Amino acid sequence: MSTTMIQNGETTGIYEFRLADIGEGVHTATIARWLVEKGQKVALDEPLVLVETDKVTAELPSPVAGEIVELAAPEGASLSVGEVLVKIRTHSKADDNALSKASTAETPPQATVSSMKADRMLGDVPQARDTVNGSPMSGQTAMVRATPYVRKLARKLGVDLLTVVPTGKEGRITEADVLHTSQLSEQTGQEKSKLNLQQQATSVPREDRIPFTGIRKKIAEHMVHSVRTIPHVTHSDEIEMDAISDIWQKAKKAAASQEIRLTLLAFMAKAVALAIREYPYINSSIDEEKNEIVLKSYVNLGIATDTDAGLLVPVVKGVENLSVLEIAQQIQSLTEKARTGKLGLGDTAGGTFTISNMGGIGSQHATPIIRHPEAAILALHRMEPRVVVRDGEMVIRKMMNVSLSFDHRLLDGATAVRFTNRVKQLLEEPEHWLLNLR
Amino acid sequence: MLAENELLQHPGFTSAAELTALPALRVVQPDGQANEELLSRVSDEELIAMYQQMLRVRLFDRKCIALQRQGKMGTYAPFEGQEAAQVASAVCLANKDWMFPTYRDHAAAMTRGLPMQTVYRYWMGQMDGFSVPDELNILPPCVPIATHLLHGVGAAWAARLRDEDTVSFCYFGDGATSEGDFHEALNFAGVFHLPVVFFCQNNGFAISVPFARQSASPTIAKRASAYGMDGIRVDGNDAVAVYLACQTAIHKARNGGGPTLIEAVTQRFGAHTTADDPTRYRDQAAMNEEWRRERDAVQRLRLLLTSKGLWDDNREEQWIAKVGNELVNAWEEAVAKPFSEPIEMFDHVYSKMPAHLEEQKKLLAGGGLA
Repeated sequence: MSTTMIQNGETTGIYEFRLADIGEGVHTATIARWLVEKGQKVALDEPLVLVETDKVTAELPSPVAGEIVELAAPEGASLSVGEVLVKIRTHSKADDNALSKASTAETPPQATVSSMKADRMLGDVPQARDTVNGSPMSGQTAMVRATPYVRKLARKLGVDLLTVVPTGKEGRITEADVLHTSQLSEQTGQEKSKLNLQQQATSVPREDRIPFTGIRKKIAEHMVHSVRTIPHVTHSDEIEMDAISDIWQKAKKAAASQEIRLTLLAFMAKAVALAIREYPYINSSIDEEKNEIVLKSYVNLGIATDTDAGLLVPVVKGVENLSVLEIAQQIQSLTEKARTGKLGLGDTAGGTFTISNMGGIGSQHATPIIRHPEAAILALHRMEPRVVVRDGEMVIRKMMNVSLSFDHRLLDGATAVRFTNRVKQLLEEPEHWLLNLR
Repeated sequence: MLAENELLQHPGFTSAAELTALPALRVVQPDGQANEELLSRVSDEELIAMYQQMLRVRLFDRKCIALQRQGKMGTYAPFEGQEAAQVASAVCLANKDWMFPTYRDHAAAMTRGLPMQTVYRYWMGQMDGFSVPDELNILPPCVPIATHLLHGVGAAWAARLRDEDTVSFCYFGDGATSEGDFHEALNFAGVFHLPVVFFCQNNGFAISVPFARQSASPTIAKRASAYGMDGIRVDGNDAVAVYLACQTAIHKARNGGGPTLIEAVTQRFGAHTTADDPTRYRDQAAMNEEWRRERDAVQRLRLLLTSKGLWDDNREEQWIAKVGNELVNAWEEAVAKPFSEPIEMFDHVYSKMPAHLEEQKKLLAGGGLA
């Protein structure tokens, strides 16, 4: 808290008594009861007001003797730490030495004798500390965050942590950052001798050091940004794929005659686009600058693709207007480009929803990370024959698990589950496609 | 198998049923009536001095709460209710003796001679709040629970090895007796017959945990026998009883008689700290009314002194006014002193600063975030 002397003078002035953090980490307090009224004279340390906080209910004693000029808030009002509670006109020093009645009471209202005249308060300290060594403190000299191990490594390699660009969580400098900086300075600086390299070699034996750069670094940055920004929730379901799979098998030949490799993924993509029509928030994003939710009438589907260089996500645009065959064709050409490293910038930008197909590798569940600023991502797992119960009988069906991660800021769990249910229905009962044909 | 009632008739059996509460030593009754024979061991001057100091520290304690509520001090641990235990024990110590206080024992430290201004500075979070005048052996307040009992034992052991006649005097609460350090400290003190006094202020609550939930034993004093040392339970709200028990224990320790465990049964009237709300775990209204009426140490000693003609309302008023001025002046001095710089935090930990601290100190000096 700080108590500000507005009219600075020995005899008369107005004290603004501000709410302090009276617990450990209290941010607000509610005025439970005023114990004084406007115009009333108060002694030093005389209780002024009863406040309630998360932690304690307490009487706040007057920091000065004087006359109440203004009660800044009514009973029941909530104040933040630092806000003015009450204004007190202070009088002469003689008044200040008056004793509070509370001081000698058998049961003290948690206040005490005598006055407090000094106008230098602990609350003033931050202002007084704004400069260090005469120079203003600013963001230029950010705090270095690194673990003791990383600091030791930096000392060993002669790396000044202030020169290292952090990539770790919450701006922490990682081991890789230090090694990267160390390598950079070795490459550019002549003074780095072989000795230093030997030291490095002996300091980190039996480990391979791979520069954390390029596409790996980019992937990492995207992942960290997404997870930091979006509250992720993932749910899973299983889908019976027999019906859609039958159609797929039959249609394959027709597609092949047009030199298109028809995949189940194309059906999945179209089913998602159809379901999005009914659940537009799945295909939305947050414009954080304008504080608006952007609902998109177009569906641009990212297809997460495993390549030698790492994860790439080419985007099939306007899926809502494409046939299954056209989707298959686009996926085919884009994934080919991705695998051969020929994707252009336009091929990976502008996605509104992402499908990550893990079926080829095999998995049962996942917690996929959303591609920021999209609202959801659907992971497809391996399709396999499983024993399931239909009409009270055990039967074998082609089952596929799916995992949907969604942005819990935009979507409630129920909405996300209903969306997945709709995708499931479209795949299990393909006749619904005909019903929605336009 | 031997039935339980058979077993207890054989040698070696100890019954939990025998663990009844010890009566406590009491000299002055709540109404001020005293056991004159015991009271005669304390001089009138000593009684007056103790009373004045108890009232002084009580007013200081209330002032600190006010300052905290006004935002001028950090979290504060009040001791109101424990004045007799702290003051009457501290007056028994010689300057050369080693005092090991906790964060609630600044009444004891001030009685010993720690300046009021220093105590203010401590609760304002200033480095010099830890400093102790050269002629006194007071350790900085120990915030971790019970760790300083081991320091006290170590100091006593060192005194033995150096052939010094100093005594270690450890302050702690009932909560500390539930810690392993308590056992280790008392064990070694007993084994090596060291000059230590373990002075427990049993105020009934370890923050919010009542004593019955900390220990199945009804008293702390009785544990002394398990460590081969003497124990005594005193009425911690009776300054005279505390004084006599401590005086004897210290004298005994100084003269090779070994350690003593003293349990001073008392209470804190207020919260654990200013960040605590005691109404959530106990009947605070009863605490404020009945407890103050029946157990208040300051009131009890005032009744005794008044009945003996050693004190009156006039003297009381004068003393309160005098202390009031001291509270103000010490506070003004405390806030007038420069505030600690963050850089000072590096200065008092290692005699030879390790590399990582050197580095951080350099970084901070260069304008890094504090």
